Amino acid sequence: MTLSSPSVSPVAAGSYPEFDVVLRSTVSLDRNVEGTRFPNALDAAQRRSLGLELCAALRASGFVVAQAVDLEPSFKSVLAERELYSRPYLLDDANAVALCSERPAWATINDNNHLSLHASHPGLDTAVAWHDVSNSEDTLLASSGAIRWAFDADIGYIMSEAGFCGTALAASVLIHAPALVISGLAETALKRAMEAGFMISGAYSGLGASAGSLFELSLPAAYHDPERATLARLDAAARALAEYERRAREQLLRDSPWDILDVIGRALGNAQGARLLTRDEAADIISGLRLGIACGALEGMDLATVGELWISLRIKPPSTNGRPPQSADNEPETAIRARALRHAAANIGFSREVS
Amino acid sequence: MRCDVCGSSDQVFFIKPDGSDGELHLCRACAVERGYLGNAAGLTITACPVCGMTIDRLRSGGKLGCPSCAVTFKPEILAMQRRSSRTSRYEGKIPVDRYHGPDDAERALGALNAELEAAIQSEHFEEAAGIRDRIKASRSRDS
Repeated sequence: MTLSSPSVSPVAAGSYPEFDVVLRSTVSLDRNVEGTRFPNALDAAQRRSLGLELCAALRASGFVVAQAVDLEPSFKSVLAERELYSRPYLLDDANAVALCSERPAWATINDNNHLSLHASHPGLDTAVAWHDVSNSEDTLLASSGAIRWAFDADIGYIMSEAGFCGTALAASVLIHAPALVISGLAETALKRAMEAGFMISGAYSGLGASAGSLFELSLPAAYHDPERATLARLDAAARALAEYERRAREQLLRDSPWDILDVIGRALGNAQGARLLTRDEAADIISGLRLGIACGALEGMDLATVGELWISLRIKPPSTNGRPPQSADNEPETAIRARALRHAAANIGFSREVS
Repeated sequence: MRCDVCGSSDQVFFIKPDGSDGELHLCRACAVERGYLGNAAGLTITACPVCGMTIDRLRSGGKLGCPSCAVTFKPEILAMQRRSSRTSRYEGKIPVDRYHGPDDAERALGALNAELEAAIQSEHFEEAAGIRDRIKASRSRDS
Protein backbone atom coordinates (compact mmCIF):
# COMPACT_ATOMS: atom_id res chain seq x y z
CA MET A 1 0.00 0.00 0.00
CA THR A 2 1.18 3.51 -0.80
CA LEU A 3 -0.32 6.93 0.03
CA SER A 4 -0.64 9.99 -2.12
CA SER A 5 0.16 13.45 -0.76
CA PRO A 6 2.07 16.61 -1.74
CA SER A 7 4.60 15.70 0.96
CA VAL A 8 5.78 12.64 -1.01
CA SER A 9 5.54 14.26 -4.45
CA PRO A 10 8.61 15.66 -6.22
CA VAL A 11 9.14 19.41 -5.95
CA ALA A 12 7.61 21.09 -8.99
CA ALA A 13 9.92 23.14 -11.20
CA GLY A 14 9.57 26.81 -10.33
CA SER A 15 11.12 29.63 -8.40
CA TYR A 16 11.23 29.47 -4.63
CA PRO A 17 12.78 31.94 -2.14
CA GLU A 18 16.60 31.56 -1.89
CA PHE A 19 16.30 28.24 -3.77
CA ASP A 20 19.79 28.57 -5.28
CA VAL A 21 21.17 27.87 -1.78
CA VAL A 22 18.27 26.75 0.46
CA LEU A 23 16.72 23.41 -0.49
CA ARG A 24 13.82 23.30 1.92
CA SER A 25 12.34 24.68 5.15
CA THR A 26 10.62 22.40 7.64
CA VAL A 27 8.48 23.40 10.63
CA SER A 28 7.10 21.04 13.31
CA LEU A 29 4.72 21.42 16.24
CA ASP A 30 4.40 18.88 19.05
CA ARG A 31 1.28 18.45 21.14
CA ASN A 32 0.14 16.20 24.01
CA VAL A 33 -3.36 15.28 25.05
CA GLU A 34 -4.44 16.56 28.45
CA GLY A 35 -4.77 13.96 31.21
CA THR A 36 -2.88 11.24 29.32
CA ARG A 37 0.59 10.00 30.21
CA PHE A 38 3.37 10.58 27.72
CA PRO A 39 3.97 7.86 25.09
CA ASN A 40 6.96 6.29 26.89
CA ALA A 41 4.79 5.71 29.98
CA LEU A 42 1.76 4.26 28.16
CA ASP A 43 1.12 0.53 27.94
CA ALA A 44 0.32 -1.07 24.57
CA ALA A 45 -3.47 -0.86 25.03
CA GLN A 46 -3.37 2.81 26.04
CA ARG A 47 -1.06 3.65 23.13
CA ARG A 48 -3.41 1.89 20.74
CA SER A 49 -6.49 3.64 22.12
CA LEU A 50 -4.88 7.09 21.95
CA GLY A 51 -3.47 6.31 18.51
CA LEU A 52 -6.94 5.42 17.21
CA GLU A 53 -8.41 8.65 18.62
CA LEU A 54 -5.70 10.80 17.01
CA CYS A 55 -5.89 8.90 13.70
CA ALA A 56 -9.67 9.49 13.57
CA ALA A 57 -9.14 13.21 14.21
CA LEU A 58 -6.44 13.38 11.52
CA ARG A 59 -8.68 11.58 9.01
CA ALA A 60 -11.50 14.01 9.77
CA SER A 61 -9.16 16.93 9.07
CA GLY A 62 -8.01 15.80 5.62
CA PHE A 63 -5.13 13.42 6.33
CA VAL A 64 -4.77 9.98 4.75
CA VAL A 65 -3.75 7.54 7.45
CA ALA A 66 -2.28 4.00 7.31
CA GLN A 67 -0.53 1.65 9.70
CA ALA A 68 3.18 1.16 9.00
CA VAL A 69 2.60 -2.59 8.68
CA ASP A 70 0.31 -2.03 5.67
CA LEU A 71 2.82 0.05 3.70
CA GLU A 72 5.03 -1.33 0.93
CA PRO A 73 8.73 -1.44 1.89
CA SER A 74 9.64 0.76 -1.08
CA PHE A 75 7.12 3.40 0.07
CA LYS A 76 8.58 3.26 3.58
CA SER A 77 11.97 3.90 2.00
CA VAL A 78 10.51 6.97 0.23
CA LEU A 79 9.09 8.25 3.54
CA ALA A 80 12.44 7.75 5.27
CA GLU A 81 14.61 9.28 2.53
CA ARG A 82 12.32 12.29 2.24
CA GLU A 83 12.90 12.58 6.00
CA LEU A 84 9.18 12.53 6.82
CA TYR A 85 9.58 9.61 9.26
CA SER A 86 12.56 8.03 10.97
CA ARG A 87 13.41 4.43 10.10
CA PRO A 88 12.87 3.22 13.71
CA TYR A 89 9.38 4.80 13.66
CA LEU A 90 8.54 3.00 10.39
CA LEU A 91 9.91 -0.30 11.68
CA ASP A 92 7.31 -0.39 14.46
CA ASP A 93 4.29 -1.96 12.75
CA ALA A 94 1.91 -0.41 15.28
CA ASN A 95 2.85 3.14 14.30
CA ALA A 96 0.67 5.17 11.98
CA VAL A 97 1.66 7.23 8.95
CA ALA A 98 -0.55 10.26 8.31
CA LEU A 99 -0.07 12.49 5.26
CA CYS A 100 -2.15 15.56 4.49
CA SER A 101 -3.86 15.19 1.12
CA GLU A 102 -3.92 18.93 0.38
CA ARG A 103 -0.73 20.39 1.86
CA PRO A 104 2.87 19.14 2.17
CA ALA A 105 2.17 18.28 5.81
CA TRP A 106 2.37 15.03 7.75
CA ALA A 107 1.97 13.78 11.32
CA THR A 108 3.65 11.32 13.67
CA ILE A 109 1.69 9.77 16.52
CA ASN A 110 2.98 8.57 19.89
CA ASP A 111 6.63 9.15 19.07
CA ASN A 112 8.26 11.41 21.70
CA ASN A 113 4.96 13.22 22.24
CA HIS A 114 1.39 12.27 21.45
CA LEU A 115 1.21 14.17 18.17
CA SER A 116 3.78 15.93 15.99
CA LEU A 117 2.63 17.92 12.98
CA HIS A 118 5.19 18.78 10.31
CA ALA A 119 5.23 20.73 7.05
CA SER A 120 7.96 21.35 4.53
CA HIS A 121 8.31 23.75 1.60
CA PRO A 122 11.04 24.17 -1.02
CA GLY A 123 13.39 27.12 -0.55
CA LEU A 124 13.42 29.44 2.45
CA ASP A 125 9.73 29.56 3.35
CA THR A 126 9.30 28.91 7.06
CA ALA A 127 6.31 31.30 7.15
CA VAL A 128 4.32 29.15 4.73
CA ALA A 129 5.41 25.94 6.46
CA TRP A 130 4.30 27.43 9.80
CA HIS A 131 0.98 28.41 8.26
CA ASP A 132 0.52 24.79 7.10
CA VAL A 133 1.23 23.18 10.49
CA SER A 134 -0.77 25.78 12.38
CA ASN A 135 -3.71 25.37 10.00
CA SER A 136 -3.48 21.58 10.24
CA GLU A 137 -3.67 21.87 14.03
CA ASP A 138 -6.65 24.25 13.94
CA THR A 139 -8.50 22.01 11.49
CA LEU A 140 -7.76 18.94 13.59
CA LEU A 141 -9.08 20.57 16.78
CA ALA A 142 -12.15 21.89 15.00
CA SER A 143 -12.99 18.54 13.42
CA SER A 144 -12.37 16.38 16.51
CA GLY A 145 -14.09 18.54 19.11
CA ALA A 146 -13.05 16.18 21.93
CA ILE A 147 -9.27 16.59 21.91
CA ARG A 148 -7.87 19.06 24.43
CA TRP A 149 -4.15 19.78 24.50
CA ALA A 150 -2.03 19.76 27.67
CA PHE A 151 -1.41 23.50 28.00
CA ASP A 152 -0.56 25.93 30.77
CA ALA A 153 -1.00 29.67 30.27
CA ASP A 154 2.43 30.41 31.82
CA ILE A 155 4.47 27.47 30.56
CA GLY A 156 2.90 26.90 27.16
CA TYR A 157 2.34 23.43 25.69
CA ILE A 158 3.45 20.62 27.99
CA MET A 159 6.01 18.26 26.45
CA SER A 160 7.53 14.98 27.63
CA GLU A 161 10.95 16.68 27.75
CA ALA A 162 10.72 19.48 30.32
CA GLY A 163 13.25 21.47 28.31
CA PHE A 164 10.94 21.60 25.28
CA CYS A 165 7.80 22.88 27.04
CA GLY A 166 6.58 26.16 25.56
CA THR A 167 5.64 26.73 21.95
CA ALA A 168 6.94 23.20 21.14
CA LEU A 169 8.05 24.61 17.82
CA ALA A 170 10.90 23.06 15.86
CA ALA A 171 12.18 24.33 12.53
CA SER A 172 15.09 23.67 10.25
CA VAL A 173 16.44 24.86 6.94
CA LEU A 174 18.54 22.70 4.59
CA ILE A 175 21.39 24.70 3.10
CA HIS A 176 23.63 23.76 0.18
CA ALA A 177 26.97 25.47 0.69
CA PRO A 178 29.56 23.92 -1.66
CA ALA A 179 31.35 27.19 -2.45
CA LEU A 180 31.93 27.85 1.25
CA VAL A 181 33.40 24.33 1.51
CA ILE A 182 35.61 24.75 -1.60
CA SER A 183 36.92 28.11 -0.41
CA GLY A 184 37.48 26.85 3.15
CA LEU A 185 35.06 29.37 4.66
CA ALA A 186 32.36 26.92 5.76
CA GLU A 187 33.75 26.37 9.23
CA THR A 188 33.86 30.13 9.97
CA ALA A 189 30.36 30.75 8.58
CA LEU A 190 28.74 27.81 10.33
CA LYS A 191 30.52 28.47 13.61
CA ARG A 192 29.12 32.00 13.52
CA ALA A 193 25.61 30.60 13.19
CA MET A 194 26.29 28.23 16.10
CA GLU A 195 27.55 31.12 18.21
CA ALA A 196 24.24 32.89 17.52
CA GLY A 197 22.49 29.92 19.18
CA PHE A 198 21.47 27.86 16.14
CA MET A 199 22.24 24.20 15.72
CA ILE A 200 24.06 22.93 12.66
CA SER A 201 24.20 19.29 11.63
CA GLY A 202 26.77 18.30 9.10
CA ALA A 203 30.50 18.07 8.84
CA TYR A 204 31.20 20.95 11.17
CA SER A 205 29.05 20.05 14.14
CA GLY A 206 30.64 16.76 15.07
CA LEU A 207 27.28 15.04 14.65
CA GLY A 208 28.26 13.31 11.42
CA ALA A 209 29.71 13.91 8.01
CA SER A 210 27.90 16.15 5.57
CA ALA A 211 27.49 14.40 2.26
CA GLY A 212 27.16 16.80 -0.64
CA SER A 213 27.96 20.00 1.28
CA LEU A 214 24.49 19.99 2.83
CA PHE A 215 24.00 21.57 6.24
CA GLU A 216 20.88 21.72 8.36
CA LEU A 217 20.40 24.92 10.32
CA SER A 218 17.88 24.44 13.12
CA LEU A 219 16.30 26.40 15.94
CA PRO A 220 17.13 25.84 19.56
CA ALA A 221 14.11 25.28 21.87
CA ALA A 222 11.80 28.28 21.48
CA TYR A 223 10.05 28.33 24.92
CA HIS A 224 7.94 31.49 25.28
CA ASP A 225 8.68 33.54 22.19
CA PRO A 226 5.96 33.94 19.55
CA GLU A 227 6.38 31.41 16.76
CA ARG A 228 6.62 34.05 14.04
CA ALA A 229 9.39 35.94 15.82
CA THR A 230 11.32 32.71 16.41
CA LEU A 231 11.02 31.69 12.76
CA ALA A 232 12.05 35.18 11.64
CA ARG A 233 15.34 34.69 13.54
CA LEU A 234 15.93 31.40 11.72
CA ASP A 235 15.09 33.04 8.39
CA ALA A 236 17.54 35.86 9.05
CA ALA A 237 20.34 33.41 9.90
CA ALA A 238 19.58 31.27 6.82
CA ARG A 239 19.48 34.36 4.60
CA ALA A 240 22.86 35.52 5.94
CA LEU A 241 24.38 32.09 5.23
CA ALA A 242 22.83 32.04 1.75
CA GLU A 243 24.31 35.46 1.03
CA TYR A 244 27.70 34.29 2.29
CA GLU A 245 27.53 31.23 0.01
CA ARG A 246 26.51 33.37 -2.98
CA ARG A 247 29.43 35.73 -2.42
CA ALA A 248 31.78 32.75 -2.18
CA ARG A 249 30.44 31.43 -5.51
CA GLU A 250 30.88 34.82 -7.20
CA GLN A 251 34.35 35.25 -5.79
CA LEU A 252 35.43 31.77 -6.91
CA LEU A 253 34.06 32.30 -10.42
CA ARG A 254 35.80 35.67 -10.65
CA ASP A 255 39.15 35.02 -8.97
CA SER A 256 39.83 31.31 -9.38
CA PRO A 257 37.29 29.84 -11.81
CA TRP A 258 39.39 26.68 -12.29
CA ASP A 259 38.71 25.68 -8.65
CA ILE A 260 34.94 25.86 -8.92
CA LEU A 261 34.70 24.72 -12.55
CA ASP A 262 36.88 21.71 -11.78
CA VAL A 263 34.42 20.59 -9.08
CA ILE A 264 31.49 21.14 -11.44
CA GLY A 265 33.22 19.49 -14.41
CA ARG A 266 34.28 16.43 -12.42
CA ALA A 267 30.73 16.09 -11.10
CA LEU A 268 29.36 16.22 -14.64
CA GLY A 269 31.95 13.73 -15.89
CA ASN A 270 31.19 11.30 -13.08
CA ALA A 271 27.43 11.73 -13.46
CA GLN A 272 27.63 10.87 -17.15
CA GLY A 273 30.36 8.26 -16.97
CA ALA A 274 30.48 6.48 -13.59
CA ARG A 275 29.56 2.79 -13.55
CA LEU A 276 29.45 2.26 -9.76
CA LEU A 277 28.28 4.84 -7.23
CA THR A 278 27.80 4.67 -3.48
CA ARG A 279 25.18 6.93 -1.89
CA ASP A 280 27.80 9.35 -0.60
CA GLU A 281 29.56 9.52 -3.98
CA ALA A 282 26.21 10.20 -5.63
CA ALA A 283 25.49 12.97 -3.09
CA ASP A 284 28.80 14.67 -3.84
CA ILE A 285 28.23 14.44 -7.60
CA ILE A 286 24.73 15.91 -7.29
CA SER A 287 26.16 18.67 -5.11
CA GLY A 288 28.56 19.57 -7.94
CA LEU A 289 25.76 19.47 -10.52
CA ARG A 290 23.51 21.66 -8.36
CA LEU A 291 26.32 24.15 -7.85
CA GLY A 292 26.93 24.27 -11.62
CA ILE A 293 23.23 24.78 -12.38
CA ALA A 294 22.75 27.38 -9.61
CA CYS A 295 25.63 29.53 -10.81
CA GLY A 296 24.82 29.18 -14.50
CA ALA A 297 27.82 27.04 -15.48
CA LEU A 298 25.64 24.04 -16.37
CA GLU A 299 22.37 23.84 -18.24
CA GLY A 300 19.93 21.09 -19.17
CA MET A 301 18.31 20.52 -15.77
CA ASP A 302 16.47 22.77 -13.28
CA LEU A 303 17.23 23.14 -9.57
CA ALA A 304 14.07 21.32 -8.45
CA THR A 305 14.94 18.24 -10.54
CA VAL A 306 18.55 18.08 -9.40
CA GLY A 307 17.34 18.43 -5.78
CA GLU A 308 14.99 15.49 -6.29
CA LEU A 309 17.93 13.38 -7.52
CA TRP A 310 19.48 13.78 -4.09
CA ILE A 311 16.52 11.95 -2.59
CA SER A 312 15.73 9.48 -5.37
CA LEU A 313 19.31 8.18 -5.56
CA ARG A 314 19.26 7.45 -1.83
CA ILE A 315 16.14 5.35 -2.16
CA LYS A 316 16.87 1.74 -2.95
CA PRO A 317 17.31 1.51 -6.74
CA PRO A 318 14.12 -0.45 -7.60
CA SER A 319 12.10 2.66 -6.78
CA THR A 320 14.60 5.20 -8.14
CA ASN A 321 12.55 7.87 -9.83
CA GLY A 322 9.72 5.39 -10.01
CA ARG A 323 10.83 3.98 -13.37
CA PRO A 324 14.48 2.94 -13.63
CA PRO A 325 16.02 1.34 -16.69
CA GLN A 326 15.69 -2.45 -16.62
CA SER A 327 18.35 -4.00 -14.42
CA ALA A 328 20.30 -7.12 -15.27
CA ASP A 329 20.25 -9.97 -12.76
CA ASN A 330 22.75 -9.61 -9.92
CA GLU A 331 23.55 -6.03 -10.88
CA PRO A 332 24.81 -4.38 -7.69
CA GLU A 333 22.92 -1.48 -6.14
CA THR A 334 25.87 0.84 -6.86
CA ALA A 335 25.68 0.01 -10.57
CA ILE A 336 21.92 0.60 -10.72
CA ARG A 337 22.40 3.95 -8.96
CA ALA A 338 25.14 4.98 -11.41
CA ARG A 339 22.96 3.99 -14.37
CA ALA A 340 20.02 6.00 -13.00
CA LEU A 341 22.27 9.04 -12.62
CA ARG A 342 23.75 8.66 -16.13
CA HIS A 343 20.20 8.47 -17.46
CA ALA A 344 19.11 11.59 -15.51
CA ALA A 345 22.22 13.61 -16.37
CA ALA A 346 22.33 12.75 -20.07
CA ASN A 347 21.17 16.20 -21.20
CA ILE A 348 23.29 18.31 -18.84
CA GLY A 349 26.19 20.22 -20.35
CA PHE A 350 28.32 23.31 -19.83
CA SER A 351 26.60 26.53 -20.81
CA ARG A 352 27.97 28.53 -23.75
CA GLU A 353 29.39 31.29 -21.54
CA VAL A 354 31.57 28.77 -19.73
CA SER A 355 32.55 26.40 -22.49
CA MET B 1 27.28 6.28 41.88
CA ARG B 2 23.75 7.03 40.71
CA CYS B 3 20.33 6.18 42.07
CA ASP B 4 18.91 3.04 40.38
CA VAL B 5 15.46 4.64 40.18
CA CYS B 6 15.92 8.26 39.20
CA GLY B 7 19.57 8.46 38.19
CA SER B 8 20.33 11.23 40.69
CA SER B 9 23.87 11.29 42.07
CA ASP B 10 22.91 13.11 45.29
CA GLN B 11 23.46 11.13 48.54
CA VAL B 12 23.15 7.60 47.15
CA PHE B 13 22.49 4.90 49.78
CA PHE B 14 23.45 1.24 49.41
CA ILE B 15 20.40 -0.75 50.56
CA LYS B 16 20.14 -4.50 50.97
CA PRO B 17 16.43 -5.41 51.04
CA ASP B 18 15.39 -8.17 53.52
CA GLY B 19 15.52 -11.66 52.04
CA SER B 20 17.40 -10.54 48.99
CA ASP B 21 21.02 -11.10 48.02
CA GLY B 22 21.05 -8.07 45.75
CA GLU B 23 21.80 -4.48 46.58
CA LEU B 24 19.88 -1.35 45.69
CA HIS B 25 21.42 2.08 45.13
CA LEU B 26 18.86 4.73 45.99
CA CYS B 27 19.01 8.47 46.55
CA ARG B 28 17.49 9.83 49.77
CA ALA B 29 14.22 10.83 48.11
CA CYS B 30 13.67 7.43 46.46
CA ALA B 31 14.73 5.57 49.63
CA VAL B 32 12.24 7.55 51.77
CA GLU B 33 9.56 7.15 49.13
CA ARG B 34 9.98 3.35 49.24
CA GLY B 35 10.14 3.16 53.05
CA TYR B 36 13.81 2.11 53.29
CA LEU B 37 14.72 5.30 55.18
CA GLY B 38 12.82 7.16 57.88
CA ASN B 39 11.98 10.72 57.04
CA ALA B 40 13.78 12.03 60.15
CA ALA B 41 15.20 14.98 58.28
CA GLY B 42 11.68 16.09 57.45
CA LEU B 43 12.49 15.73 53.79
CA THR B 44 9.63 17.00 51.64
CA ILE B 45 9.23 14.81 48.62
CA THR B 46 7.33 16.59 45.89
CA ALA B 47 5.81 14.01 43.62
CA CYS B 48 3.26 14.21 40.83
CA PRO B 49 -0.03 12.85 42.21
CA VAL B 50 -0.85 11.21 38.89
CA CYS B 51 2.36 9.44 37.84
CA GLY B 52 4.59 9.67 40.94
CA MET B 53 7.40 11.58 39.20
CA THR B 54 9.70 13.25 41.75
CA ILE B 55 11.68 16.46 41.46
CA ASP B 56 14.97 14.54 41.69
CA ARG B 57 14.03 12.36 38.77
CA LEU B 58 12.97 15.39 36.77
CA ARG B 59 16.27 17.15 37.51
CA SER B 60 18.37 14.15 36.59
CA GLY B 61 16.47 12.95 33.53
CA GLY B 62 14.81 16.13 32.30
CA LYS B 63 11.65 14.19 31.44
CA LEU B 64 8.12 14.61 32.74
CA GLY B 65 5.94 11.56 33.39
CA CYS B 66 2.59 13.01 32.40
CA PRO B 67 1.06 16.42 31.59
CA SER B 68 0.01 16.80 35.26
CA CYS B 69 3.70 16.96 36.22
CA ALA B 70 3.67 20.48 34.75
CA VAL B 71 1.32 21.60 37.52
CA THR B 72 3.40 19.96 40.26
CA PHE B 73 6.76 21.17 38.97
CA LYS B 74 5.65 24.46 37.45
CA PRO B 75 8.23 26.66 39.29
CA GLU B 76 11.04 24.33 38.19
CA ILE B 77 9.93 24.38 34.54
CA LEU B 78 9.38 28.15 34.52
CA ALA B 79 12.86 28.71 35.98
CA MET B 80 14.30 26.50 33.24
CA GLN B 81 12.45 28.46 30.55
CA ARG B 82 13.44 31.85 32.00
CA ARG B 83 17.11 30.93 31.72
CA SER B 84 16.80 30.54 27.94
CA SER B 85 13.85 32.58 26.78
CA ARG B 86 13.81 36.18 25.63
CA THR B 87 10.41 36.88 27.15
CA SER B 88 9.23 36.06 30.67
CA ARG B 89 5.65 35.23 29.79
CA TYR B 90 4.36 32.77 27.24
CA GLU B 91 3.54 34.59 24.01
CA GLY B 92 3.08 31.70 21.60
CA LYS B 93 -0.01 30.17 20.09
CA ILE B 94 -2.89 29.46 22.49
CA PRO B 95 -5.33 26.58 21.88
CA VAL B 96 -8.63 28.03 20.69
CA ASP B 97 -10.54 26.41 23.56
CA ARG B 98 -8.39 28.18 26.21
CA TYR B 99 -9.44 31.78 25.83
CA HIS B 100 -10.67 32.28 29.37
CA GLY B 101 -10.73 36.01 29.67
CA PRO B 102 -9.96 39.32 28.06
CA ASP B 103 -6.25 38.91 28.87
CA ASP B 104 -5.97 35.65 26.91
CA ALA B 105 -8.10 37.01 24.11
CA GLU B 106 -5.98 40.15 23.93
CA ARG B 107 -2.80 38.10 23.88
CA ALA B 108 -4.14 35.83 21.15
CA LEU B 109 -5.32 38.80 19.10
CA GLY B 110 -1.94 40.48 19.52
CA ALA B 111 -0.18 37.34 18.25
CA LEU B 112 -2.58 37.09 15.30
CA ASN B 113 -2.09 40.76 14.41
CA ALA B 114 1.68 40.25 14.47
CA GLU B 115 1.23 37.22 12.20
CA LEU B 116 -0.94 39.27 9.85
CA GLU B 117 1.63 42.03 9.65
CA ALA B 118 4.46 39.57 8.98
CA ALA B 119 2.42 37.78 6.30
CA ILE B 120 1.66 41.08 4.54
CA GLN B 121 5.28 42.22 4.75
CA SER B 122 6.52 38.94 3.30
CA GLU B 123 3.80 39.22 0.59
CA HIS B 124 2.08 35.96 1.58
CA PHE B 125 -1.33 37.43 0.81
CA GLU B 126 -3.28 34.17 0.74
CA GLU B 127 -1.99 33.39 4.21
CA ALA B 128 -2.77 36.95 5.33
CA ALA B 129 -6.38 36.50 4.24
CA GLY B 130 -6.62 33.34 6.39
CA ILE B 131 -5.19 35.16 9.42
CA ARG B 132 -7.58 38.07 8.87
CA ASP B 133 -10.49 35.58 8.97
CA ARG B 134 -9.14 34.12 12.22
CA ILE B 135 -8.94 37.63 13.73
CA LYS B 136 -12.54 38.30 12.68
CA ALA B 137 -13.68 34.97 14.15
CA SER B 138 -11.78 35.65 17.37
CA ARG B 139 -13.30 39.16 17.71
CA SER B 140 -16.84 37.90 17.12
CA ARG B 141 -16.29 35.09 19.68
CA ASP B 142 -15.05 37.53 22.34
CA SER B 143 -17.68 40.22 21.78
